[in-house]
Amino acid sequence: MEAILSVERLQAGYRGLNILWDVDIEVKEREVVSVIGPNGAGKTTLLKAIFGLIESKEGEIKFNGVRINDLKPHKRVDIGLTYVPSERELFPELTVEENLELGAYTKRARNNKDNLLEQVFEFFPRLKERKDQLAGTLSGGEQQMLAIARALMSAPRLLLLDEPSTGLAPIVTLSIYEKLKELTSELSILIAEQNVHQAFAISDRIYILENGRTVASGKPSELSEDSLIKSAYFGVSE
Amino acid sequence: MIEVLIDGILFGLQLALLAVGLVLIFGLGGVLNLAHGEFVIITGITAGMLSSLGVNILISITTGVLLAGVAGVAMDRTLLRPVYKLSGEMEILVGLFLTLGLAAAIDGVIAYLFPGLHFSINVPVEAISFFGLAFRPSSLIAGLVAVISLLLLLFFLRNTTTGKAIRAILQNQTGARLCGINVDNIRTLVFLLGGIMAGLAGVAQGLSSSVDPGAGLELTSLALIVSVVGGVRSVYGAIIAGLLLGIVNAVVSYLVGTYLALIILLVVVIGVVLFKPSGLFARSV
Ligand SMILES: Nc1ncnc2c1ncn2[C@@H]1O[C@H](COP(=O)(O)OP(=O)(O)OP(=O)(O)O)[C@@H](O)[C@H]1O
Ligand SMILES: [Mg+2]
Repeated sequence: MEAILSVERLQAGYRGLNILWDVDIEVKEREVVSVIGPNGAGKTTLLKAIFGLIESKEGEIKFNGVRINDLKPHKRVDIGLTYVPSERELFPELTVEENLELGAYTKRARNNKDNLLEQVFEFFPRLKERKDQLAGTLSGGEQQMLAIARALMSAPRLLLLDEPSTGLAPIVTLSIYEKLKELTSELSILIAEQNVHQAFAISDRIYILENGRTVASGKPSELSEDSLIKSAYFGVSE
Repeated sequence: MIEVLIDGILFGLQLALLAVGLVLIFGLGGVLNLAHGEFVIITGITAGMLSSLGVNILISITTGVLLAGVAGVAMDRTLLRPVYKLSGEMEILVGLFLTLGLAAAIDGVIAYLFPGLHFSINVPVEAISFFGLAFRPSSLIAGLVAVISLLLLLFFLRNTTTGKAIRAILQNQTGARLCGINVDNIRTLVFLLGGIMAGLAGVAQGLSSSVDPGAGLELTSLALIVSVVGGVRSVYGAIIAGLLLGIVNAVVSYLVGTYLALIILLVVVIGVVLFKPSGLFARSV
């Protein structure tokens, strides 16, 4: 299978301070890949670098075989990359529908806006019910749905998702993950997650990031057998 | 008394034209533009020079207004570049210093080159009367120019894709980047708009009285006061607060004189800030 994203020997960080050291990650077409690791491992930093919110210092980020290191974020959205940070970053004073319309801002998506909106509403009927409500007044779970839905409005090929379970009750997290699973018939997903249980349940492959380095990777079945890794990185939470 | 009100509205519209740009630039660039009043002066001087050289008055005015817009773009693309890389308090502080420095530099150059010059636009038409009130046609045109420009701006922000992108950035810059909005380009566009709106304020002032090239910083502080009262991120707020303060200023000046009026105006502002620190209007557009 073709790799939609390949990250090679990536180094990135903040103002002279390197966080990621030679990170290698690959996501293939229609694959769900999770990056897991303890607090401060660099998961968010990795997603930011892939989306272009921070510059990469060394190494390559290839999307669909093309090097994108020097593309600004808006150009990356244009070619099919999208990012949902754990903060969601919605427009609180705009309605649900206005938020979604802005999600289809790029020319490519704008021309197909009505179709995309219909699909997204079909996918998240809850958002359709609330389309005239201000985004800032939605519940946490609804906001997460809206953030994902807004990202889908750009007609992406790869969805970068940071801690979709943040601040949500387990049952809400579960329903969000169910939705994500449905999406994989159409696109690839790269998730950064601390919720190891969910990550193991949904992912085709998993990378373990520690101190800015990928220390292990493999299928969930291979990794979960390795109780050593689990206890070393995630305590005995499972 | 009605004449006083009309004067107040006219002045208020000029304040609104100034303040909307200030608010937009602050919202998108994170820079409180202390050189904002200089846009008015740039328009005034350019239009005054050109028309005194015999250039058609409309062409002179248009050139002046466009030049203010170009000055805005130049500021964004050169002087303020380093500011956008900063964040938080540093961004605000460095932005203040740089724009204050620019304002002082422009004031200095202008005072040296054009000592004592004032610029005004004369419309060669007799006074018109409506319902027994006499209007100077130039004031009428000034009001029309201001109202039309403000309405166009609101329409642009409400109904165009780019306008919606501006509103999006005002609410959440990162969110806007996630949507694929080119924030840098839109910020430049907003400096262009801010310069043009302020230039139009200069035209309105030139039509109704005259533009004093030394008044840059005074105009900036008026715009600041208006934006604080309106809510520093609210375009509607800037318009309403501009009108409000314009009218209060005119009425109080008429009743107790201009010097006391300024003091009373400031008291009103302090009152608003005390009771509603976020300004009268918290919503962004
Ligand atoms: N803006 C920033 N400036 C400087 N350092 C930062 C910045 N953001 C994050 N860091 C540092 O980078 C390191 C990695 O942070 P990152 O947010 O990528 O971790 P994470 O794996 O996402 O953690 P968590 O599970 O808590 O979300 C941390 O040590 C953090 O302090
Ligand atoms: Mg994180």
